Amino acid sequence: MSREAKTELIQRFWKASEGNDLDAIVAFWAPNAINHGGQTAHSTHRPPTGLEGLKRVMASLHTAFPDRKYHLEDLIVEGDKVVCRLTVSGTHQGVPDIPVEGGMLMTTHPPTGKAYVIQHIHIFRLEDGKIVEHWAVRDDLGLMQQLGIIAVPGQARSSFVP
Amino acid sequence: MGEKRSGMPTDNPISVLHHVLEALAQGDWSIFDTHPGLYETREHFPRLHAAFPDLRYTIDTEFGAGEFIACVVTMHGTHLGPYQSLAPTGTPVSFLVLWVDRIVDGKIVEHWALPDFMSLFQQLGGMGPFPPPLQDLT
Repeated sequence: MSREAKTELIQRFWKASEGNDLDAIVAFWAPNAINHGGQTAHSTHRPPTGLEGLKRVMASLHTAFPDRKYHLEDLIVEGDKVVCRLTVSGTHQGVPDIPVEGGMLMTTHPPTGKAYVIQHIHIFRLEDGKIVEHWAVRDDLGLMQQLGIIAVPGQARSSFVP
Repeated sequence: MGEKRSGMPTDNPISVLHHVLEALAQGDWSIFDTHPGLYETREHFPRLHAAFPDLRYTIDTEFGAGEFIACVVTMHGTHLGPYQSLAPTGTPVSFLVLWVDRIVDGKIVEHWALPDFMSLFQQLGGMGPFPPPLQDLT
């Protein structure tokens, strides 16, 4: 796969991810793909696994933020890896079934109707034209603050960088 | 380990990354004078380090593409100092940071990093106990 083909594949993936055609979205993923999300040994939540798990994630995203947009700021390809730096925006319109953007608190909070703009970074590993591995960190804390669901005293900015 | 680590010239962007991560873990803030792209990190990282003085890191994946490097870093530490509004809890934590730099002539000139602070706050109990989700996670 050429660099251009990988770029185009991931661009199409983000465009598909703005919609709710779950089959079209999971078609970008290999059945045995590993979705690390942002989890570590101490994480309190692990994303559901497999293509069915991925569909649940995307369905929950669509419920919570049906108008979400993924604006690609940077897309970097090297070998089998693709990095995306994104600005993500939308409005909070529903209650997701499982923790997605915003995390666990979103699953019990009524929709606020508020708009948000946050940063994401994603890294994909591709094999044979499919996503086989994925890491992501979102500014969930910034999102929750913008929606007014949580406040973190003493924090000057909605997102900060280590 | 006693040597002055900052400002070591190197042309390899991955070496620059390793050098910067090591300096950050060691609390060597002179690193900020070398890398102009870390101006926001200069503002925030020392506070994080004070809250987790044993902060260390593992690089889960890393790669370079021209002037850019990207990596997945897991930060590990123990909550031994105040962090935001939270008094020290002694809790061991780990959280992911996705990190992208543009490196020119051995210097970080642009830096984007997203730490999973939401997960960190959850691990510290900073969000209070969570009610169960609407649907069971299986």
